[in-house]
Amino acid sequence: MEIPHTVTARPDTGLWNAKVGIWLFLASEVMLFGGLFSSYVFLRLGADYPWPRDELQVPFGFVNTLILILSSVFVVYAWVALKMRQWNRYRVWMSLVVLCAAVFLVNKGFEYKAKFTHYHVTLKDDSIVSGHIHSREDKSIIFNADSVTVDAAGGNHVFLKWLENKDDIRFTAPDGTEVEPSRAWFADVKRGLKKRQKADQLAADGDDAASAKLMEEVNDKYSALNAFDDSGQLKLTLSQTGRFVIPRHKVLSWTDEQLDFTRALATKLDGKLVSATLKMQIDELDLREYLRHDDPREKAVADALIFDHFDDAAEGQQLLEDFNHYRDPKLAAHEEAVAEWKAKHPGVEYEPEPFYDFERVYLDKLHEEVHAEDETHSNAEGDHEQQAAAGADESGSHGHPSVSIPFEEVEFFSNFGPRKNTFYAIYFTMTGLHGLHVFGGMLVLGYFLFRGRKLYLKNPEHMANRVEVGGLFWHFVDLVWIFLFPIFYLM
Amino acid sequence: MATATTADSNAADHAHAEHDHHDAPFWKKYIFSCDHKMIGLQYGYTSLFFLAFGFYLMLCMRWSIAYPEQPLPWYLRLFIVERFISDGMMNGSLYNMFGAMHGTIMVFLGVVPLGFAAFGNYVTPLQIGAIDMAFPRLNMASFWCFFIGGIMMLGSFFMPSGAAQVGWTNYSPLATTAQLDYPSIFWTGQTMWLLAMVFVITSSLLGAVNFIATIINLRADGLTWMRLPFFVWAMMVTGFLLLLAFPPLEVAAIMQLMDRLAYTSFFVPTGLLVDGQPFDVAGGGSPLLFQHLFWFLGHPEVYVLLLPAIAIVAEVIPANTRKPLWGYRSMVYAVLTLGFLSFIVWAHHMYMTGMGAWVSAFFQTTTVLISVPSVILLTCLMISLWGGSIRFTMPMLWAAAFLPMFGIGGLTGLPLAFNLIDLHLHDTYYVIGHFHYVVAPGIIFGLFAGIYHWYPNFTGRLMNNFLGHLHFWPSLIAMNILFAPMMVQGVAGFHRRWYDGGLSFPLTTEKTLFEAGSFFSNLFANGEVITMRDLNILMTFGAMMLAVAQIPFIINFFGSILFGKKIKNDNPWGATTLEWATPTPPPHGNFLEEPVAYKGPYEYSVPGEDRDFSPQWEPAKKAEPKPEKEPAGV
Repeated sequence: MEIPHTVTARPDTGLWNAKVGIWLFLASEVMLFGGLFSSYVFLRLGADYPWPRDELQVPFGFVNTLILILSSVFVVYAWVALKMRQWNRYRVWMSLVVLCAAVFLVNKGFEYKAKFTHYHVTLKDDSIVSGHIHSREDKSIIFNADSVTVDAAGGNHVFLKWLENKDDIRFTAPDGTEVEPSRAWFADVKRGLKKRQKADQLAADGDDAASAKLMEEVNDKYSALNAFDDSGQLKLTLSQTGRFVIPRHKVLSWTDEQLDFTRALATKLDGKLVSATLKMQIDELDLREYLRHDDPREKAVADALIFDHFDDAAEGQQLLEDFNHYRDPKLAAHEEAVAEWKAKHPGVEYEPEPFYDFERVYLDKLHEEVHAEDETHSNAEGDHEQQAAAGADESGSHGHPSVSIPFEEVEFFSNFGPRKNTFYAIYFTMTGLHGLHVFGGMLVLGYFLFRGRKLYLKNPEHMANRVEVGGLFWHFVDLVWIFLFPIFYLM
Repeated sequence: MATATTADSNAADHAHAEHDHHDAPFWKKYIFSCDHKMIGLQYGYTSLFFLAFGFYLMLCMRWSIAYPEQPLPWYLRLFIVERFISDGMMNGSLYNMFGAMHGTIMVFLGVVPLGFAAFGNYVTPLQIGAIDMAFPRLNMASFWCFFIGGIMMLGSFFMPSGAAQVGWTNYSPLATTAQLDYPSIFWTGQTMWLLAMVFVITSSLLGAVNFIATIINLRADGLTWMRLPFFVWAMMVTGFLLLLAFPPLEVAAIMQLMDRLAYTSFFVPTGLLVDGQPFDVAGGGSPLLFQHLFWFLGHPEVYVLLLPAIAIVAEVIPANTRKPLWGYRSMVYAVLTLGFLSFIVWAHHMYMTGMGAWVSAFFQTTTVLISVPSVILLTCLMISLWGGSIRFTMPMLWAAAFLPMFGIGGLTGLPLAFNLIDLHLHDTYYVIGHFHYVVAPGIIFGLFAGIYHWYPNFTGRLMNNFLGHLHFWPSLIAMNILFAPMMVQGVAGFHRRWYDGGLSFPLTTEKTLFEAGSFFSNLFANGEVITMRDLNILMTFGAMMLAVAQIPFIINFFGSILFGKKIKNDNPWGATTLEWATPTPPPHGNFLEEPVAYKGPYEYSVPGEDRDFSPQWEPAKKAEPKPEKEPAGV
């Protein structure tokens, strides 16, 4: 039984089945990416923060665009070769297509990696710094625990994940028995708890015999439960101090002596807080949201919280000076322009822009600019001190000061991943989905390349049709990128 | 030429018969089958199971509203794990869970798979004279995607969190922040809902591509566009609706997954508090965006539910009135218009979101416009009855009941289209009553008509008539007892999300319908509080009655496979479309010889012929020109 029109076109529609199929599939793909592009517009128009316009690496995106366009051309040559029944030539072109796809994905991988290792911190007053965190401990809460309190109903073993020296530690219940708070142990506790509740229910219903029997089973099999107190808590003492290194978002609250995990973990630690600060080396200072202009609060740059947290206060002072040095003339020029505009348009209300781009600085660029000025300055006046300071800067971290921000003052912190803001969320979602399409296309075209010989010998036209369908999909993937590139990298 | 193809196909058929003789292994024939009929039946059985399951959820909910202070009866409690219920009663979160899953299961796993996937798969290739779908393996993949999605939905009930709880619309940020208090957010019902939806959507997309390609490319010789049965047209439009409307929902599901698992803020606004705590994400997203994406699917989905049912009715009516479908062409154009318009009405679900008066006015206009093609369809079906000698067979009874029931559903929708009136009716039981009239006694009646109509085709036996009546009449009455009171209490302001009657029930009353005594006198009098409760008790009674009324159907459906009356020939209803040109049940490959269509689909009572039907596959008496050159539309 053969389905008709799999290879040859149906006379009245002029189409073979797979060609109808791929166009329909592409129509639905258009709607898929259409939904995403519409979401992009919706999110961008509704953004209440300065939409990032120059944070992605244009050269990377540009090269990737070229690669995809080239591969789209190559896939046509591959198809033509098949149509002319030149298998070897087809193999060459198709290999190039697959190679291009691979290079595209590798490029993308580098871009992603750079973003996942770069961090962003918003302080409570909306001043923002970005930079690099050098170890896991630098972004975690570190706590030396003497005891752990677990909950019978909601507790689980997940907290062990962050106990550094768990192999050396034994847990002891108040009655002296040793306990291993593993997944199985918690599961037993929960099972026992359920049985006990059922036994209570039976007792309440008046069926004492059944209740007693069930309670016996509980005491027998689920004796772990007996150690818990009436409120369903159990305090386990650690045989030696346990060092916990816990991601911030797994902690609900902490004091110097106590730490509460989130409700999903339902666990408490007692002991001594070692550190609850975020340590990073910053490369960008962003005060646009701190100094919002549609909300005329009089704020001084120097009052921004971030300047309190430099490891070397002098570096902070230096950065503050540099920042003002950079910003003041631009702000004055802007205010002048506004005044001019107001004079030209009497009676029209002036709507201030919410954010001024020059209130964000990359430290490298700032350093270059200020340093250049310094040289002229010191040459003119011969200020040795300043020259020495600039020299020290150069030899040291090249203007990337370290900061330690207590978590109480952190409003929000994240790497430059999808969580950072809606721009990165939609960027990762769209390019990720697009990347999956590239990967899928690469697999299919690779299959045609390495496994197509058999079908080619049997029915070359069928093989050419397959490549045509794959090629149409490949063009579509290319087209999507051509829209993605400008909206994320350029606009 | 026609003879040549016949000879060819005979040869092919011969080979095929031999192939059948070898008998494919069981798993290949019944489980991983590529045959469109087996896939259709797989879809049918699965979706009937889901319909029954969704119905059960609804019974529990109805009990909870009618008797909020009484424990669930044992027969409803059988399937509920104890940890979900308190003192034998449903609590609010269980009610929410059942509500969300009732909607999801009924729409995405029950009615759409039954109407579009089951009937569409089984009937469409037969009606266009094709040996199978254009992409049989894709078809199988489609079913298994659906099946996996369904298993995930069901499986989510067994997770520590239970299933999704925030309504079938899954609005953010409620859905984003629900069930976050579990060690693994991935293994929560709310996340599973999204993953399962991705599978169900993929299944629908594969199905839609397959249907449209099949209809475009695999029509039999002579089956021009205007000779297609209306059912095929409806399937094609439905296919396009699914194809183009589902991807935005897939986008929404992916984004919400990101919100839950990667802590993005697509749908999370700035400054959101959850349980009084600031929600620790960046913010800046838009809850309204989710609603747009959801309803961009959600509204076409209504027509995805409707079109298969109305198309089944359009097949059943001519076969039983013995006269052509009135206004076939207008129906075709109406269904195409309907398909187009259904893409630009979605925001009438969102009048209350404050999206702006002009936007509301636009969507109000298109919504009123879309009633025109809907009314054309229904009117054509009504007029088709005119002057026919109607045979009230079982399928015809269901089809006949479809017309007024769907009419009520449609007309009660009109007030909701106007945003001023919707301000009052939004989120009340009026809305529930309206769309349940459309879906339950409307669409599901149409689907029942289809089951009774095509049952002989896939079993070779008729369903029992007595049991059929025992199924039909109580169902008809129970449906109305169940849904008509919703309109009344909806207008009075009864909110659709109250699990225990909310503020409308007095706290202490233990009155039942029968104790209240003065039920009707209370209906519009000042005893409004008691009325609400009485109506709910009445509706619960209707729901129970409806459940009982399905028992004869289940007996009939399975019993008739073995004991039903055998049909005397392959065309028991004397119908004209090509699915009756096959042997019964149709073998793999369907037709014994390649069918050719010589005429339009509904040639009943043609003057001058000796029978009252004149099948598409039989040449007309007069010498015909070659079918390919036939002018479109006869």
